[in-house]
Amino acid sequence: MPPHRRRPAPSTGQAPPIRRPKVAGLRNRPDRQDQDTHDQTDSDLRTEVEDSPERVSGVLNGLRGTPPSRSAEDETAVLPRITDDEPAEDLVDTDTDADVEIDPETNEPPAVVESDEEPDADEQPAKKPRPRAGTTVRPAGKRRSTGTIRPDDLTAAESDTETRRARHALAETRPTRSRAQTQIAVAVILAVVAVVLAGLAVFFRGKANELTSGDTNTALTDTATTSQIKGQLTNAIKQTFSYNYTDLASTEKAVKENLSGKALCEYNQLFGEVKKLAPAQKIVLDTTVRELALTRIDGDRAEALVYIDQLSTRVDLNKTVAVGGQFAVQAQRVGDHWKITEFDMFGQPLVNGKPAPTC
Amino acid sequence: MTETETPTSRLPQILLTAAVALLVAAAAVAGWFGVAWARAASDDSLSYSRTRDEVNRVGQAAIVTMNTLDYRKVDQGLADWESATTGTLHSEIVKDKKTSRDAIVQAQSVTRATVLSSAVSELDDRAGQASVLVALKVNVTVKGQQPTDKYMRLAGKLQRTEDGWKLYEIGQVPYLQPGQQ
Repeated sequence: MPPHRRRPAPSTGQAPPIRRPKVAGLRNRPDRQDQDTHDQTDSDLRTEVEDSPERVSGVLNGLRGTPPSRSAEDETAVLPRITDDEPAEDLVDTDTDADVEIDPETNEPPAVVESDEEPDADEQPAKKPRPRAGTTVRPAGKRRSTGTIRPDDLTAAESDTETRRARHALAETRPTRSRAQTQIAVAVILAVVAVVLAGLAVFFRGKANELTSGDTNTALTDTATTSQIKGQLTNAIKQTFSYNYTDLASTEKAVKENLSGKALCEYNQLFGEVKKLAPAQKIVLDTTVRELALTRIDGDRAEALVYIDQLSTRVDLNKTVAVGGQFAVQAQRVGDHWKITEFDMFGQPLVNGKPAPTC
Repeated sequence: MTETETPTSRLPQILLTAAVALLVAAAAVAGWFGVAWARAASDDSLSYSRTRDEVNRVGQAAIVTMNTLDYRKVDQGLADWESATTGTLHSEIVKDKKTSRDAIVQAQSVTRATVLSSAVSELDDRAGQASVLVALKVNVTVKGQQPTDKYMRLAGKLQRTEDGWKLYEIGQVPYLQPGQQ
């Protein structure tokens, strides 16, 4: 342990001789720079496992036993170097490989699985040189490279143990998968929020429709139309329900102008007898609309409740009878004119005792 | 990056983009209808229309109540009268409660009203005043007599109170007598 600690202190990141396992592999390499990068990478990796004394001892044990497996290690280390673009990463892998193989001897299975990071622990004290080596950029590069190099390693070290391969796969897939997982998780959350919003949209639409299209009755709310209909219907009822034996034509005219459809038939039943008797009995029927209110206005259709007062005079007998009546009318707009299309006598018997007209 | 990573990382990216698009679309639609609802809710004519319907409903019920009494449940009936009215009408009912009760029990009368038609004739939303017309058919049964149907035309005036709309005037609309006009 002491020698290792001492090593990094004076170094500028170059202290391969102290780390025997690496030196063995690295010496075969023609390029000195590889070593430098290698060390830098190591120090970078170190940060991840700084506080694990157990691992350190494990590594040390492994290092002591390293020499026997050297030859195999060299092969693995050399192959990645073919892709010269990222030599540092190659070396990291090599280093890791060495540790893995050694670890089983230490009887520490957990350490084996994580042996990836052990070399760093080994060099814990050498923190100081790290900044010089441009650590800030490194971590990202390291992660990427671990993933990048893997296929090469696997093909090259086909003979390696299952544990190692599994560990590699793990180390390689971890960052990629976590990013993908994050994206999927965010996508799922957004989709859920979108579904909630869609539900809200449906709810809002229902509420809006409930308030608007659900209510088409504009009686009173549309004051202009309301007073127009009231005026026209009041006149129409007054004229058609009034009768003077001396002027039957004006009533006929009013009926033609203001009634249509079913209302004509009902009117004829209501006033048929009066019409017959009027000339002989000299009947004068004077009708006033006492109250008229609109139950509803629905576009071109309207419905009103009407209270009328009638004074029926038989001029020949000089006798007047007062009657009050109530009924409902349906009206329809034809152009600017509201015509009565239907009378609803509420099933009341007529004054003369006859049943209400049915058409 | 290597070829192995590209296809695996593309799918989540597509999903994420699709989710964002979905979210934006849903938010836009929800916003649209939310505004539509808010506007409908704050629309004056719509609120006036709702008040009209409420007045019509309450007016009908109140006028039916005032024309419905069963001597066997006279206390309940008179309590309903009280709760449907306000102002002087209410005070009169409370004051004449005992006489009304005795008269009804004495006559053993049962009256039951049904609405033929009704309409709001005037409505002042701000003042909380309204007038209604209600045409009724009232079935009247008095002790020892056959039930008869009476057709009545009534008018009522309502006032908005803390407990909703209440009748403060009610009456049959009289018709002109000969020589009155």
